[in-house]
Amino acid sequence: MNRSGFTRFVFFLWRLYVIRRLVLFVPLLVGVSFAVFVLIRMAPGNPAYLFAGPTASEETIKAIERDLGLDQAIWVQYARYMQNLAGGDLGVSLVTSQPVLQDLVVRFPATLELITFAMLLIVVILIPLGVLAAIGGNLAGRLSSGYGFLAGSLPDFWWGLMLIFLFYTWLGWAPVPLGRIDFGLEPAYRTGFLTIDALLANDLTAFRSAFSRLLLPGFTLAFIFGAPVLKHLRATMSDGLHAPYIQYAHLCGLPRSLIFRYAFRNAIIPPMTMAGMTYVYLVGAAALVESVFAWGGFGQYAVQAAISSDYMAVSGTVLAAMLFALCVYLILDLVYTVIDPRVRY
Amino acid sequence: MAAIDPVERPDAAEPASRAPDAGGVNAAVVIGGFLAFGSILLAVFGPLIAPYPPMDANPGQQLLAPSGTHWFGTDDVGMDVFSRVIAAPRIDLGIALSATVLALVIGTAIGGIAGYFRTWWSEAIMRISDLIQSFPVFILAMVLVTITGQEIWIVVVVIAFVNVPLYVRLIRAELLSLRERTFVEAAIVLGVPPLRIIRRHLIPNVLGIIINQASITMGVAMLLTAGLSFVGAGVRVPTPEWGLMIATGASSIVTGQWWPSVFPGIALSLSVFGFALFGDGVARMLGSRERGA
Repeated sequence: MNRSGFTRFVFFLWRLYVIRRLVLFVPLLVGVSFAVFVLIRMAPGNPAYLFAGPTASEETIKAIERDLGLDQAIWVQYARYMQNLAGGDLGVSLVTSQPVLQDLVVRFPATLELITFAMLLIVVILIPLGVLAAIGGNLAGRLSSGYGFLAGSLPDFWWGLMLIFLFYTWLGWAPVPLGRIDFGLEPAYRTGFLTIDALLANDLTAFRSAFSRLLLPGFTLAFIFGAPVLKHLRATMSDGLHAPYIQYAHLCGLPRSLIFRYAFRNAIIPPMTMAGMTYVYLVGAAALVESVFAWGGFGQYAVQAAISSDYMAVSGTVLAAMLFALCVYLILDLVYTVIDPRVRY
Repeated sequence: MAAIDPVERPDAAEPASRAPDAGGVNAAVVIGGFLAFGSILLAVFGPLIAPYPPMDANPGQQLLAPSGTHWFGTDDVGMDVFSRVIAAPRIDLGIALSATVLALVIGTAIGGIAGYFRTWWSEAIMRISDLIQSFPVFILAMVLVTITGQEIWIVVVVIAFVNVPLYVRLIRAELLSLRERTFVEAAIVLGVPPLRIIRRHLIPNVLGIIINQASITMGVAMLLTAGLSFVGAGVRVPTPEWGLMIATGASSIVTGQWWPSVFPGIALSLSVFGFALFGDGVARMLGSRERGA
């Protein structure tokens, strides 16, 4: 009796989708971190050389290898890494000489602010456009499909450069495309989002500076990566508006606005998945746009880490990106249950 | 067959919603084909017809504006931008095409097997694909290229590697439904060996989808190649490559010299655009033929 009660409790927990996802995430995390670890240690360059600098002697390098544990077998190193990870220690970056976790805490919000702004632009501008394209006839369909092809063909980093040329060099409307805020205006660190921190500190000058820096890279990302969302929404929405249940609703004489809401609620789900995937993808993919605008965020950190085979920093960035992906998908799944009554976990 | 009815019905409703695109099929294929074929021609002949040697730096002629002698101007070390733009497809298209073919062949083979057989290892294949796909693609590609030493063939293998799971997933999803069809049952009854069923009866049925995906991969691969080179994790200077050219031109765009980065960007975009349009058009044509339209 007692035992079956316990089993029921375990099943109850298992059915809590969130927990199931978290449990499944652990082997994934272990697998990925090990893969990254092995891959990076296969690299031809010796991290100890990087650490010691070009003039170091043989003995110094040997000593550093011993210090970093590089002379031990790979699984010993990995075990140690996982052990530290459990305590929240991601190791020390060889390039910045700072703990990787500390580097990430500074840089991740920078990227998050940028890509969240881009996602807001997508939601505010492109989703209404997608709905309009679904209602509009032939021409609207062609325009949105044309925009999809165009945006899919433009390299984002080049598009960012073009916007810089147009709005900074030529028209002089945009601020210098270097960094997230004018020098000396940084508000005190609270959330890491400069716009929010500036508002919290009640510093409107800083807010204006940070916001104006956000505009160009934000539009670059939204323009390029919003296209699939728009294209998808147009397709699902136009299918939805012609679906039998909508025709039935028309026959019943329901008001148009209500019918429209029914159609939209069903049509928004696939594009929302896509938007979530885009959000996750952007964490890494924004690296190119970040380096164009000298954003100093997560993506640029990952680039720098990869290029200088800074193995602790690379493992840390990959883990952080995956953790972020997990959170986004989790939230997305929970939102589905709210929007779509058919979805139950 | 009553069971087929609900499957057929959405198809019957389709012409109404698909009609706007149907008229554009030919134009899309022609324009896309023109651009795609044009960039393939440049990949073959570009370096031969370039007016200047594409890797010759000319110290006296840095950052010259476009003119009659230098159509697209010169870059910051005095290399002729036009010559480099038309020489670059050999690198960009070469990498993208090899990576696409590699990903397509491996992905289709694995996806075909994983879709036809229902065993524990076809399940394992899918989980491994999940693992690869759950990586942030760009970071993964960057790490793989830099740790293996930035050779061109490694860029090819890495781009193929990150794309294989897409094909596996796509082909498997299609085969899962196709393998329940009567013609497959007939083939099994006739004693056709499984691999032959996959190769001769199943894969030809998903050709349209494969072609469409290949054209997308082609574009993605070109953009990825350019992106990797842009951040310094791909092809090295002074190889004529569009992404690298955009990167070297990036510093001078703020001071007003737009030509070293504008032209390679346009060339890259047009080329990707061409392949996407062409693949989409061809897939539509194949699709409408299958539907009997």
